Amino acid sequence: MARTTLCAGLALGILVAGCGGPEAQGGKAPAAAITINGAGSTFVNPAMSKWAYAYHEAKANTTVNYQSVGSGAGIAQYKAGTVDFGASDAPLSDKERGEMPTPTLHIPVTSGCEVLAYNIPNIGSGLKLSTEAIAGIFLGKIKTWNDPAIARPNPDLKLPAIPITVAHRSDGSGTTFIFTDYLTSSSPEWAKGPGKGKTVNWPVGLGGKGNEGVAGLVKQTPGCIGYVELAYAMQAKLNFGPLQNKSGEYIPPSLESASAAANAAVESMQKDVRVSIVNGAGKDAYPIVGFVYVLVSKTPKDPTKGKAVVDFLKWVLGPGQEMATPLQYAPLPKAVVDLNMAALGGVTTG
Amino acid sequence: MRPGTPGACSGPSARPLRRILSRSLDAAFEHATLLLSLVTVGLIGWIGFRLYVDSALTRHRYGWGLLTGVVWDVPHEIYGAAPYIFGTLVAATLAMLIAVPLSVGAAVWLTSLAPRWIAAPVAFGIELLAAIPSIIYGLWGLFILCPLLQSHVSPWLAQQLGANPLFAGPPVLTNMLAAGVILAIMVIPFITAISSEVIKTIPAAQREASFALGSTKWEVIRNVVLPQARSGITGAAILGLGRAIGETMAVVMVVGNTPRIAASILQPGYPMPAKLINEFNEAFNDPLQRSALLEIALVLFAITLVINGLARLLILLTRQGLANPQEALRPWMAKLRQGLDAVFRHGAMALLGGLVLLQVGADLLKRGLGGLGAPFELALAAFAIGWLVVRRARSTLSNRRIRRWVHGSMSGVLALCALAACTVLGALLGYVAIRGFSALTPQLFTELPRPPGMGGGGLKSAILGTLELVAIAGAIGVPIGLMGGVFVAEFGRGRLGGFVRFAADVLNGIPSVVIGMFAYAAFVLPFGHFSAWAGGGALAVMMVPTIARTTEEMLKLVPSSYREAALGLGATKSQAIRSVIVPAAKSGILTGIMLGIARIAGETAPLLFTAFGSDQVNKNPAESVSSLTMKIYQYAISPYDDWIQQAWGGALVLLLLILVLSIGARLATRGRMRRA
Repeated sequence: MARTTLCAGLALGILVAGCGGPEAQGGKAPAAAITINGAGSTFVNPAMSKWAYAYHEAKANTTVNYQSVGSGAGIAQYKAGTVDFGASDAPLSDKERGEMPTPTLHIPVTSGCEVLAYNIPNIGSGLKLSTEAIAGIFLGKIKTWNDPAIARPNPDLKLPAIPITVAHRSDGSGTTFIFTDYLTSSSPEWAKGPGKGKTVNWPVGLGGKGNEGVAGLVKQTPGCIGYVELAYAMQAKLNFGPLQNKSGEYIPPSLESASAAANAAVESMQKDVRVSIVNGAGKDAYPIVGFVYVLVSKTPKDPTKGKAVVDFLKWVLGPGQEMATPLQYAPLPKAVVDLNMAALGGVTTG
Repeated sequence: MRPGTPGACSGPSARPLRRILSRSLDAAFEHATLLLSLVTVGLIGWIGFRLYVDSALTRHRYGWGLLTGVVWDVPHEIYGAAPYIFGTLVAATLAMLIAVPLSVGAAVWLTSLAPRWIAAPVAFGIELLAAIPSIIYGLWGLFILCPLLQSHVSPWLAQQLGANPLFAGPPVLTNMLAAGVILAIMVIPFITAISSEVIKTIPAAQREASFALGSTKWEVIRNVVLPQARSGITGAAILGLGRAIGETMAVVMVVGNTPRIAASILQPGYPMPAKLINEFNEAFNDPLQRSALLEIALVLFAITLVINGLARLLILLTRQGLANPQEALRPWMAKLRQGLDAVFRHGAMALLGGLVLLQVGADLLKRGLGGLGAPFELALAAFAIGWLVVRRARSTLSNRRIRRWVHGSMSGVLALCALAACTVLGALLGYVAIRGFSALTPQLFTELPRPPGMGGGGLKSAILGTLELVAIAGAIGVPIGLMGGVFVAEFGRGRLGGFVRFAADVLNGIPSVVIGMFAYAAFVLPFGHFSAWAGGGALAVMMVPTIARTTEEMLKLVPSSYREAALGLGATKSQAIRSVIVPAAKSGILTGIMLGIARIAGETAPLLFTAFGSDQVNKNPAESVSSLTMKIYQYAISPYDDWIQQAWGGALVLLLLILVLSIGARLATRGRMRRA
């Protein structure tokens, strides 16, 4: 009869079988093979993907699939129930938390610094940026690199007269939240204008997707400056420098400064872990620092997956912490880890 | 001609049961194909319905304000989509300004001037451009085209034409110009192919008549070919416009993603599809934001629906008119054709005139009368003088030297158009081959992706994921497409068949990002998680029209004597189709399947909302899965050298897969294939 149909059917069958074959085996072999899906913050992605990779090596039957789609998307997908956990550098507001379908826990997993990475021809790392210059650049008032506001703290550098291109996020982002939180607290003009949020109405600049996208823009574009998490700037070998803090000092980003900011917040975190740690008052405080929160349901709809998520997070809070330090993510203070462990104990798991 | 009535095959006892059975089988077969052919129509309705219903919140709350508002501020619940609509308009207009002259020139050269030995491979090459996935254009655009434009083209434009607000400001890397150029490159193959088709339908007698009157080849083109094919070419251009408006991945990578309503094309912009692809993933948190994005998608859907519908109609009418010149079109059709034609042509002239006036005005404003000596004005004057000279010379027909010179130079210009398209193809394939080849290690195929900074790793999960998604899409899409095509070719001679074919063409033109949003609502939300099933489903939606249309074209090429012979021997219609007609068109139908696979293997946008991505090999299709395209996107926009390297490697693998499929498909049918 219809040989063509047969041929096509056969070809298709082979294709499907080719893909279906291993699936059939996979379903049976290790009894409790489980995949947990997470999505969100790109800020934490370098650490998170390392955790996922190492966790799979340690516990072969659990696969953690983390997609770095931005905090906004992470929260949205967590809310829609399409992922098992979300990750965001911006904590949920009370309103957002109230709208979640199930009671939601905030588990801080690490903290880190944001840097202003730049690509200025013939200028290496170490450009000092004053509070005033940062706001001016992102408000679009400072337009070229040789502007006096930038040149003043850098008398030794010969800054070129090329235009500044600002890179910011095009997606809803916790990194943006932390950065605009900082701008709002350091610049009255910014506070009155764009304000703070996961997405804001940027006065100038190019939009990139994720920390990856912003870092990529900076790397590609001469004259570009953008805010990215420290690990991205280091891994992509981007230039960055010390920023002026609240007490007027120029402080380089580091693991220690992130730790210091986190330690200062421990007390207030006993009441509510959703704290802002930008623009700290300390003399050595680096100004743009933030926590990363993993969002998990207290009453997961699939208790088996819920348990797997809790196990993974407990591992992250334990051995995971050290693994993130080479990437310049600060380990959590002991008190916060204890707080988290207690909170995770309250998750109903099967 | 109801089949099965002869009943000659049965013996004297007539075996009524068997005859009834075969007759009802026949009817069942026909109804099954009808049903599956209606899937395309149903899908368009379903997509439109979902977008309409799901955007109710903002439609009621903001009314038209959403389309006219200029601020998009999620925290303050202010939603204005005007900058995105503006971005789409500017990018698409730029693309048209570049693509239409080039494509029409290339089409005319290929059909009327080029020697056959060169025309065939060049046409083939331009068609290959159409098969290259959006994501590869994006990769190439970001790393090759954008730096080139920024270092060479934009500064030159700013210097020569800088008084014009269109070319103001320091050029940035990713901007509207880059988006316009990339879109132009992407629509050139469509406009060229369809214009060529239309030109080929012009009866040879008309050209010959003109030659007999002593015209040069250029004069034949100018006086016979272009006027005759004009509305068809307009249709092709409008179709290209529809493509340009809906393109997503390539645009989002090169356009800069900054909502802005301002003149300069050297600054970034933010077209609608880019907005959707960037923000839809996070909008489910916020019903208002989601509704606003769905409303943008609805606008995009409606625009592409109307544009594609009009373009297809125009092309159809032109080809019909050319094929049977004595058969007059129905008055409303003729009027519609004239109207569309005029609107488009006058629009284009007004646009060009406006741009020239703007430039002259800007130069005059900036430099006073000295502006008349600016480069643009000088070039304009030279052009005008040349045109006047030629025009005068033409009125004195005896001046053969000038006529020959005009023919020669116009042939040169037209050949350059074709050459430009080929150069782009060469540059694209060349860069992907060179940069991809160094990344083509065994690890690329055997290792899983590694976290950034660790180095090494490969794209195993992405390659397997693409295969898995294509297999799922094929399992769903191939039968539906095949049966739908069978219906239109074999049963749907009447109005219904035309309607179904039209629907397939329209579905083919709906932007992939819109299909992705639909698939998220239809295949992800109800099940509560991302999955390979959902990704494959979204791809199947995109695959069906391609397969249905090719199947139909191929079945129509089967000589009708085959059908008659089969029916004459007593076969029922379904028997004739299954055992005679379809086998006769076998290679053609396989071609359709291969083209369908080539079309979806390179899709990115629908997968980001459905398959989601994964760095592991997921054996369970109910889990999220990776694909080459998603991985290329993720790696291309990253700041890591080893990831970017792997993106090029992945692009080469994908490109090879798609080229093998498309070249194979075209060789299999050896030129019998007609473009829809």
